[in-house]
Order: sequence, then structure tokens, then C-alpha cells
Amino acid sequence: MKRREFLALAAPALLPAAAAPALSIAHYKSSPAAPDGIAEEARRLTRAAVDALGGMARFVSKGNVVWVKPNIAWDRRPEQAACTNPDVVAAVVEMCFQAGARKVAVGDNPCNSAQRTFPRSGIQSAAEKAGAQCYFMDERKFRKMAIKGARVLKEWEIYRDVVEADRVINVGIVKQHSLTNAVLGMKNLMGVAGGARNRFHQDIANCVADLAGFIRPQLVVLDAVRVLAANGPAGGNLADVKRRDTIVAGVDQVAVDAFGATLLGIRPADIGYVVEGHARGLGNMNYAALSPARVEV
Amino acid sequence: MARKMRTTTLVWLRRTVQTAFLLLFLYLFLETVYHPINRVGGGVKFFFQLDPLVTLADWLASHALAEGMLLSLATLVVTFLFGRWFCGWICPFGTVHHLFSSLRGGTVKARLDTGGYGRWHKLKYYVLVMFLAGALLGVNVVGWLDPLSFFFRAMAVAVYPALNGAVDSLLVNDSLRRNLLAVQQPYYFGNVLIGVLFGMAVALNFYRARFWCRYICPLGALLGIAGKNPLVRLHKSPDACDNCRLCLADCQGGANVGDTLEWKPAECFFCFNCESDCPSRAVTFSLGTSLLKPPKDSRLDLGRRQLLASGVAGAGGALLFRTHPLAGKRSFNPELVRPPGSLGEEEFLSKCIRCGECMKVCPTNGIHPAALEAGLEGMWSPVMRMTIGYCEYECTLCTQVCPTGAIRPLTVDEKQKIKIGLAYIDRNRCLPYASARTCIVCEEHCPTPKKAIWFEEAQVTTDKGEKVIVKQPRVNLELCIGCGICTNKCVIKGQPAILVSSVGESRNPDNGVLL
Repeated sequence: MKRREFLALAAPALLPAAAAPALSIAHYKSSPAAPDGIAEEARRLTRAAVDALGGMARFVSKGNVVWVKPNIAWDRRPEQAACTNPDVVAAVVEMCFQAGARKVAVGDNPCNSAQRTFPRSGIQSAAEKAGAQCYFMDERKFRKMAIKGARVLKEWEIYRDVVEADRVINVGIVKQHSLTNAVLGMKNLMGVAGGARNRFHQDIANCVADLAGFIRPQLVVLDAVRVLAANGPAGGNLADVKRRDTIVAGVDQVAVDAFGATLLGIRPADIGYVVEGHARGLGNMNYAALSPARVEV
Repeated sequence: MARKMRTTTLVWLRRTVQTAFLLLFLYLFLETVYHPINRVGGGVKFFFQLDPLVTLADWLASHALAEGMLLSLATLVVTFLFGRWFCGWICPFGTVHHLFSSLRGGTVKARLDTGGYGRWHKLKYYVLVMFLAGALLGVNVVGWLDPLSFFFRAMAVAVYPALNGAVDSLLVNDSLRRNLLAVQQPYYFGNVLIGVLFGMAVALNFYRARFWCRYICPLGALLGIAGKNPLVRLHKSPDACDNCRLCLADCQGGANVGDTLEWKPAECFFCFNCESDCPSRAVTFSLGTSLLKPPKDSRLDLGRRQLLASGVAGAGGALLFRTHPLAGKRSFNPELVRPPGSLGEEEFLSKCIRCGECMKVCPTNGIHPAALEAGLEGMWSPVMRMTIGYCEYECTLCTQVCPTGAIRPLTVDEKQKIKIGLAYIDRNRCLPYASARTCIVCEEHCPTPKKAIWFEEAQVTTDKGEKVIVKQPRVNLELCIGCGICTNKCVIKGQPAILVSSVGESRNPDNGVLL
């Protein structure tokens, strides 16, 4: 038995924190239609999901610098569900500060121009209001890094500040995506990569798994208050937006994505990077085996 | 010659006003950027709306005027009554020339020798006549040398990107970058030529004070004609004057202020340097009471032959441009993709003044000054370069800033229905077709709510003999609006595997393709 495998087996017995669940699913009983109602839903679900894992203090300690990585890729409004719900991001930021974070940075390397996606997604103002610093990524801070254990991206430009942060929290959204079938949490990590990342599409499962294995966020929060069920990941048609009124949170990024896929009616096994992540031991795609904590709010 | 020159209050006032207008110009220039609310203040067009040259040429060429352009008639009326104050007090490009003229140094004697009127002053009137004769025949290229267009274009395409790059390399401070600099370093095709021409225009001030304003500026010429018989007039007191000629030393326009010759009001910018410099207070300005009695040397003396020649040159050039295959709608340049809201090509060129407002405001750096894509006639008019930027689906900024309406104002809804061209796929380069590799980055980025790029799953054979399924993209010509984000994000750089051509553009029905 290898040391890591031994620790993985022994950890639940040794560490009290690990007794807390690795995955939580918070669901909202009602499905409010008014913007205020949805905002409140998003915040309450986010808190409930993270609390079910043992609270933010499990992930963020006093004095930490935290990088929160939402999906801010597209020049779309919140109701179009192409970017993470701004209230989910704000709730995560607030919890980080409550846990004692010294600084919370929010940033993404978007597909449309950052000067449009940051404000129009509502994330910039929500995050800044919560006390975070919102960053348009600076091209010069993408540094070529050796990616340990990578199959394809053995060396790639990664955002320096993300790697240097004490904690990384990945806050993605559930969307249909033609090439991979779904954009979830792990694929959201493409937003910390620079360079010619459009080449990732030629071997997307391995590239996403390489990034997930490198960044290894301490916490993943997956927004499924609204999901984009077709014409993703950019969307634009409100008819493609469906309500799932759910927030998934977890320490197991593969399990979070595996459950997230089901919210689009997709089997986890049909998502290449989930399968690849599972095979590499980044997490468990059989999320049910982790006995997720289910919370109704 | 050791007499001390003074600087009068009037000169200080003029300097203050000049500085204020230059700063206003620069402020409006910097304000010509994306704001999250998708709205640019209409104020950014202000200086162009003061420009009667643009108004006149647009009206002659297109018989229509954009909203706000009539403000320029105020400039014309003020000039008619009082002279070329616009050049001396308001024009921001004039102020730049003034600034560099005052830096040129040299001995007072050298400045006296080059300070006066010469026959080359007439050149600008011939330039004006050429432009207007062309405009009368529907060819409007006045923006090449209109001073406000020349200045704004050079700032947008050459000076600002160069300065931004220089400062950017020195600063890493994030808040400074966000507040002071462009969010992304802008790059423009054609920047070197436009930058060098700007540099030359500025450098020529070292040869003659305000070289551009004296000899080239067609707006100066128009204002000279309008203001050749102003109410404000220069007077020389023959008794007080001791012919020291110092009044010529700092003359901006070369209006024969001193000397034994007569003052030429059409060349005077009313900078009041002569009055200020005169040691014996022999030069004064005063307000006349009658327009009926013109100053002695108010004629322009342009010569009938020369005027005719200029008109024929302008008209001849226009006729040549009109019979270029592109102008005759016999052919359409597939690379000539214009910003959304651009009028049909003929009407577009009759209005566009190549000022560069749209190029400056485009948040993706997608609009560039054309080289010869639209023929020589269309040089420096806006053209989309999808390998650099693309047309942002939810943005209408370029349609808001165009001062002449060559790009008409659009709502977001209208804009999203306009095709600026159509995408087509080069199957010899596209990875899933040519190389049995998966990709469809184009489909991922396609912004129309129902994607205009769809794909077919096809079984292909790899070089290793494996049979694999790849998704091969197709373009739905009904849905595609030619925004070009597919080209911009295509993994193949330089000559992407999916390109946007002007075929199918809404603005030119003759260039359509669909039934």
C-alpha cells in the first residue's frame, strides 16, 4: 500500500474534520420568480451547502488569501445563466471573510472581453460589495509552469496569483457544452489558464483533468440555481435556461461535477473529464458513494 | 534689439482657452471607450459637430446630415463675423501645432524672415476646392486632411496605443492600469503610416510656425474664406511704428501683421501675439462696425486658372473613384467587412470622415483603418479585422460615436439582426475536417441565441488508422450575423479555418447570397 492510499484510508479515523461530508447538495423548496427572491435563494443555498460541509472555517483560516474563481466568461446577464450567479459568488466571498480571510480575490480569464463580462454578469459589483477585489487578469501574470502529473499540459501558462493564493475556491455554473457535454466545475478551471488554451479542445478531457489535478481547489461550489440546458456555454436564449434551484458544494471536485451533470440529465460517464478525473484519482465520480449531505432550504 | 517683449492679458486668456479646449478634446478622446452600460456620452462627438468642413462635404456628397452637425454652422457664422478665431483659440490640433511652433527656437531674425505671408498659403484653398469638387460628385475624402479627423485618428490608431504600450511596460499597479490605461493594449493595422504622417505634421512646425494651419488645412481654408472680411480688425499706427518687425516674430498664421504690406485677415488666427510683442504699442485690434467696408487686403487672390485646375483635379479624381469596380457594385471585396450599422457602401463613403471614433471605442479592438480594401477612396475608413477583435454581440458603441451617421445609431436588438457578413469554413484547414482532430471552438463561442454554427458528427480515420467520431462545424447562413468571434477564437492563427467575408452583408443587398 502506498503512503497516499494509506492516508486516504486512515484519514477519516485520524482527522475529525474529515468526518464532515465531502459533498453537499442544497435544494430550495420554492422557486421564486422575482429577482430579489432569486438573489436570496442563491445566497441561502450557498450558505446551506457550505455549512453542510462543516462551514467555511473548514477551508479558510484566519489570514488566508483566497482566490475565488467564478465563471465570468461571457458577456451575458445573470438571468441568461452563462456566468455564475453573482449572489452565489457574493455569498462565498462573505463566508471567506467571516472565516477570517485577509483578502479575497475574484477573477477569471474570460472568452468575451473582461471589461464587458465582469460588470454585465453582475459578479464584479456583487463581489466588490462583499469586500472582494475583482481582477481583470493581467497578461503578464500568466507564467509558464511545469504541471506535475499532467498527461498533456506538461507546461502551460497559469495565472501566478491563483497559484500563490493560500486557498482556491472554484465557483462554476452548470451549462450544456457541445464538445464535453457539460461545463461544470473542473472545466471552469480553464479560466486560470492563459496562452493558446483554445487548443485544449483537441484533447479536452485530459487538459481539464491536468488543470484540475494542478489547481486542486480546496472547495468547489457549483451553481445550479439556473442552468443553461442548450446553446451553451454562451447561451443567450432565456428559453434554454432552466431552474434547478440547487447548489452543490464539495471537496471532491469529480463528485461535484458528476452530480452536476445529472442536473442536465447527463450521465457522469458521458463527461470525458469526469471519467478522466476519476481514473486519475482526483475524486469519485460515483458521488452517491460519498453519502452526500442533502439540505432542503 | 534688447527691447523687452511683454505678454498681454489677452494672450494669457487665449492660452488658457486653447489649453482648456485641448484638454477637453483629450478628455473626450479618453471617454470614447466602453462603459458597462453600453452607452457612450454623445459629447464625444462635440468637436466634429463644430466642424463646418465635415458638414459641408457630407452635405455635398450625401445630401443628408447627421443630427448635431448643424452646430457647425455656429462656427461658420462666428467666423464670418469675427474671423478665424476657431483656428487660434479652439482647434485642438491647431493648439498642438501652436505648442510645437513655440518650441522651435531659432533667432528672432530667422523667425521674422519666415513669419509672413507667402504664395504657398494658397495651397490649402486649392486642397479645399479639390475636396469639395470631389464631394459634389459624391466622393468624400475630406477626412484625410480634416484637422479634427486627422488628429483624432492619429491619436486613436497611433499615438495612444504607442503611449499605452510604453506606460504599460513601466506600470504593474492594477488600479492605475484600470483607470489610466486601456484594459487591453490596442493594436491597429496602418498605425505606422498614420503615426509617421502625424509626426511629420507636427515636425513641420519647426520649419514654419503652424505649417499645417497655414498651408494644408482645408478647414482653415474654409474658415479663411468665410472670415476674410471680419469685424475684428488689426490696426497699425504708422506714427508709433518704428518698423522693428517684431510683430512678425511670433505671428502664427503668417498674416502680414507687420512690414509694409497689408494685413491679411483670412490668414489671421487672432492669437494677439503681434499686439503683445509690439514694443511701441503700434499694433492694436478693434471691433469695426461695418462688414461693408472690407480691410484693404482681404482678397484671397487664388487665380481663376488655379481654382479651375483644383476643381478639375478633384472632380477627375472623383470620377476615377466612381468608376472603380468596387464603386460600381460590379465587385465586392470579401475582406471589406464594415462595423454594424454601416450604410450601403456608396452612401457610407459619402459620409465617413475616417475620424477613428469607432476604432477607438470598439472594446475588442476589432475596427481598423482600411488600407486599400475599399479602394483608394476608402483609405482609413473602418474595416473589421476579426483576427484582432470581433463584433461583440451585445455592444453598439461604434454606432453611437459616429459623428456623421456613416454608421447609423442602432439599438442592441436592431444590431443583433444585422449581418455584417457571413462566416465560411475552410475545410482544408479546419481540424475536424482536415486532420481528424476534435475542436469546435467556433461553435462554443458563437453568440447567437440559437447557435449559427452547428456540427455534424462524422466518422474519420486518424493517421494511426483509428476510426474516431469528430464534430465537423457547419454555418447556418440564416442565423450567422458575421460577428467574427469564430474567426477570432479559431485555433488556427493568421489564416483561420473559419473566416468572415462581406458576402451576405445586410447593408449591400447586391452582395447578398440567400434566397
